[in-house]
Amino acid sequence: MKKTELMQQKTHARRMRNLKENLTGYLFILPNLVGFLVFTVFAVLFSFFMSFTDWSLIKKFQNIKFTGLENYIDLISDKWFHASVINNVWFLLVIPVMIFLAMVFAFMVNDKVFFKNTFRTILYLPNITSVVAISVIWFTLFNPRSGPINEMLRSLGMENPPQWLSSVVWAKPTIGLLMIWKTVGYYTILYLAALQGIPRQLYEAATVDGASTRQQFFKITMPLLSPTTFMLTILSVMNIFKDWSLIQIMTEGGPGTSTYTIGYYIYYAAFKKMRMGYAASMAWVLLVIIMIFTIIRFRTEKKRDF
Amino acid sequence: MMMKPQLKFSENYRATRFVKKLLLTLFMVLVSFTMLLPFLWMISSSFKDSLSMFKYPIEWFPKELNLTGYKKVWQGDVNFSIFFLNSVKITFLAVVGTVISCTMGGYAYAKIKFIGRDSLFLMKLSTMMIPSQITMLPTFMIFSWLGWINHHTALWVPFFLGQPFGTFLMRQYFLKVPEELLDSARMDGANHFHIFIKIAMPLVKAGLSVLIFLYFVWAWNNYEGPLLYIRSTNLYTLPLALKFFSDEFSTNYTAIMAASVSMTVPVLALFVGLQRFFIEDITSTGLKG
Repeated sequence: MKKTELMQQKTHARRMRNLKENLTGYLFILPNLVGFLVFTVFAVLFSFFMSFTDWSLIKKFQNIKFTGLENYIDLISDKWFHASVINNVWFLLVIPVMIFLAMVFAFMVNDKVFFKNTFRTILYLPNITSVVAISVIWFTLFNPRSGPINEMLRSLGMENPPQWLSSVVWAKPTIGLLMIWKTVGYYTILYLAALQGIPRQLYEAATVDGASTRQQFFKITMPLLSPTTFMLTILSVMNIFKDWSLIQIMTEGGPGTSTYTIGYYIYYAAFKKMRMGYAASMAWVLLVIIMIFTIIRFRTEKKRDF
Repeated sequence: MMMKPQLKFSENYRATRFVKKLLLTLFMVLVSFTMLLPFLWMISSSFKDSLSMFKYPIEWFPKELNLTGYKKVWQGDVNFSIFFLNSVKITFLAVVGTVISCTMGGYAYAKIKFIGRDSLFLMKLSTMMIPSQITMLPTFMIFSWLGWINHHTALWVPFFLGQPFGTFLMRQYFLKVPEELLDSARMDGANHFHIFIKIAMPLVKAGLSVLIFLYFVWAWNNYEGPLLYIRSTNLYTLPLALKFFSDEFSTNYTAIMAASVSMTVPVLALFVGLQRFFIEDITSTGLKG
C-alpha cells in the first residue's frame, strides 16, 4: 500500500514539474508565438485568400468580391509585370560580381594586408547607412548635367557621358552598381566568418609548396568557401527579387519601365493603384519564383560535391 | 625536431613578402576610397552652397563654411528636431521590444523543454524564407483595423512580438551556455525566470550587443514601415523626412546633404567608435543586414 502511494506521489510530482516546465516554456515564447500566429500564419493565409479577390484599400469590406483566378490571369498579360520579371532577371547579373568581390575583399582583410580592422570597418559602413541617404548622395553624384561623375568623364574627354538614372539604357546598371556598393561589405563580413574556419596549415603548406597568393585564392579559399557562396547566392536572389525601397526612392520604376522590379511593382499596385488583391497574387508568384531559384541552386550544388 | 618551415626562408623572402603585403594594402586603400568617397562628398557638400558644390574639380575642403543647409534643416518650417525625436523614440522602443522578446524566446527554445518546442522552432525558421511582400499587405490591413495607421504604434509594437532572426540569433548564444551551470542552479531551487536573468543573460552579453546593434541600425534606418503607415508630417521618422525633404527641396542640395549628414553621422560615429567591439562579434555570428 505504502509503496504505491509513494510512487503515485512521485509521478504526481514529476507531472507537476513537467506541467510547470511546459507552462514556463510557453510563457517565455508567448510574445514570439503571438507575433508568429498573427504576422506569419494568419498573414500568409490572409494574403493567399486576398489574392483571389479584388481586395482594395478604398473598398468597403462588404463590396469585396471573390474573383477566382482573375488576378493571376491578369498577370499573364500585364506588360508592367513582364518588364518587372525581365528586369529582375537582369539584376541577377550583379550577384556574381558582388560575391566575387566580397570573396576577394574577405581574403585580403583576413590576413593579407596591414590595418585589416580599419578596412573591415570601412567596407561595412554603406551597409549601416540609411538607404534614403545613400540614394540621395548617389543621386547627386550621378546627376547627368553637373554631377561630379559626369564632370570627371567630360574632363577625361568623353563628350556625351551617360545620362545614368534618366536613361533607359543606363538606369539598370546604375542601380546594380549601387546594390553592389551597398552590399559588398556585408558579404565580406560573412565571408570573413567562414574564412576563420579554414585551417591556417593549409595556406602554410601551400606556401611551402610555392603556391602564389593567386593560386591560394583560387585553389584553397574559393572551394572551401563554397557553402557560404551557396548561402549568399540564395540570399542575394531573394533580396534582388523582393527589395523595393532603393527603386522607390531612386527611380520609381522609371524611366519607362526600365527599373520596375516585382518587389517594387507589388508596392506600387497595392498602395498607389489601390489593387491589394492583385498585388497579393503577385506576391505569391514572387514566392514561387524564389522557391524555383532556390531549388535550382540546391540541385546544382549537390552535383558538385567534393 | 622539425624546424618551422617559414624559418628556413631567407631575409630576401621576407622582404618580398613585405612588399607584397604593402601592394595589397594599397589595393585595399583604393577600394576603401570608393566606399568612403560618397560619404566625404556628402559631408563636404553639406557645408557648401549649391554652386560650389558642383564645381569641378571637387573642392573637398570648402573655403568658407556655409551653414545655411544645417539652419534650414534644424530651424526651418519642416523641423528635423521633431523627426529626430520621433526616430529616437521608435528606435528605443523597438530595441527594448526586440531585447525582451528575442532573449526570452531564444532562451526558451534553447533551454526549456516544453512540448512542441522543436517543431515550433523549425516552423518559425522555415517561414523566414517567405518574402516580406506576402505578409506586408495583410499586416497593413491588421494595423488599419486596429486603427494604427498614422500612429507610431504600428512601427514599434511588432518588435515586442518577436523577430525571427533575433530569436534565432539569441538561441545560438543560449545553446552555448553549459547545461551543468543551469542544473546546479536548479538544484538550489532556482526557477527558469531566475536562471534566465541571473545566470544565462550575463553569459550572452556578446550576443546581446550584436542583437542591440543590428536592430538599432535596422529600426533607425527603417524606411518602408513609415512610408506605408505614417501620413502626417509631424509623425515622420528621419528616413521618411529625408525623402520628403529631398522631394520638396529638390534643388537645395546643400540642405539635402545637411539633412543626410544629420541622420547618418550619428550612426556611423557610433559604429566607428564601437567597431572593435562589434566587427568581431558580427563576424562570429554572421548574417543579417
